Amino acid sequence: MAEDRYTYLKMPEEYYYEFYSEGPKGIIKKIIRYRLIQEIPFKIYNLGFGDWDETESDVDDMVNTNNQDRQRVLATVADTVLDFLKSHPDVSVFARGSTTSRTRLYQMNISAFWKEISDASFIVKGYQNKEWKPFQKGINFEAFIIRKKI
Amino acid sequence: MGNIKNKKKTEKVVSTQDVGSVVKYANAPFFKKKDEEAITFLKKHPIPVDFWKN
Repeated sequence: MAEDRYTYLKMPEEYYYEFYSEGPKGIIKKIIRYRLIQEIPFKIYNLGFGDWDETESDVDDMVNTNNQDRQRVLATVADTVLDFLKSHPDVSVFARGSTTSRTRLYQMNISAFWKEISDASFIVKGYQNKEWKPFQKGINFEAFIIRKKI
Repeated sequence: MGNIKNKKKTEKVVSTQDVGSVVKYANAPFFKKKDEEAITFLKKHPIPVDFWKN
């Protein structure tokens, strides 16, 4: 799927990415950051994503920016996941939204790019009904884990 | 996902002048909270070892 994406800035040493959403609500700074949360038995990085709120000096992922660019934003986030894993092929990325609907957005993104994810040799599992299982479209998972095939 | 030309247009490396701002963003309180929630989730629902086997 040749989805349009935003240009993002990245700082590899900080496992950090940012880009700007542009639309009717103005220019919104989007922050993406990967943080190591488990090392044993295998390294897992947690995906953090949201809008930068300058007044709060914090990130907010509960806000519904509604800048009419949701697919473009999701495609850009997906790009950073794949870029991060290509740069760190021996780790995995964990993703879970702050709310069920946010997690659903991650799921939609994975579904939308499933062919590319599979073709690029990534393995994805989702947590559902008390177990981790291979990702399938149409199932509402609670969280996701993705890694690159070695 | 996209072609090489598309990838080149979508990626830039942050300059060293922006390091201070990046550290502020990357260490936002929101992320700390999310990391703690993720750790708690994974403790309750650990990833099976076979996930890392090809």
